[in-house]
Amino acid sequence: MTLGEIRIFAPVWNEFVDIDCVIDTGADVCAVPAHLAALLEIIASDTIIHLWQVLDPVTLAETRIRLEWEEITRDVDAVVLDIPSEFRRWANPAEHCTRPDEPHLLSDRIVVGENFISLLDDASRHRLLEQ
Amino acid sequence: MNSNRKWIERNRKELTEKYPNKVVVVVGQAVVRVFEPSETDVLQINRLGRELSQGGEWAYTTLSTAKGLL
Repeated sequence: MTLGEIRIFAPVWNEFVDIDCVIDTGADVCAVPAHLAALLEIIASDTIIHLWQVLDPVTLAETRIRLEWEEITRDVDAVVLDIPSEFRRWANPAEHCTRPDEPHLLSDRIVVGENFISLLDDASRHRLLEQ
Repeated sequence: MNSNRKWIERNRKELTEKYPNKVVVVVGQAVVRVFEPSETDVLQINRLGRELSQGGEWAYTTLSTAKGLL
């Protein structure tokens, strides 16, 4: 995984905006936190995808997003996941919690997954990953 | 790649030390605005970046100090 920046189509403005991202070749599909999807007016479908991860199943809504990197624009599948608001802020000094002190990495980022990365040619993929 | 993005990545360590866990907007390879993440959102940042760069190149990032996440 690496941190970077990409352009995502924001229906609310009907144009692309720059957004921070986690570029994750280990993620099969892209992911958009629900609070950012709401802000950008990216609508989740009624379709859900059922994933398994360590310990727990995860059931997420699906959507389509349009990403732009350099001159390449592609529509790809994505999942919408909820990051509870208490995970999107710093822990209070007196707060007793088991989560990290820091805000969740997806508080202000999307995940760019392999379903977009694999659509790029070798040179573009390299430049995306080397940000 | 946007030259401001390259500049951020070349200087990420120093920027994170100077502006830990802040959102910075970069124009002309210099930090021009600093925010608490809770003070802003991606649309406000895009609007500001476009204004400050007068339609030219700009970039932003959140300088997270979180370790062990990547």
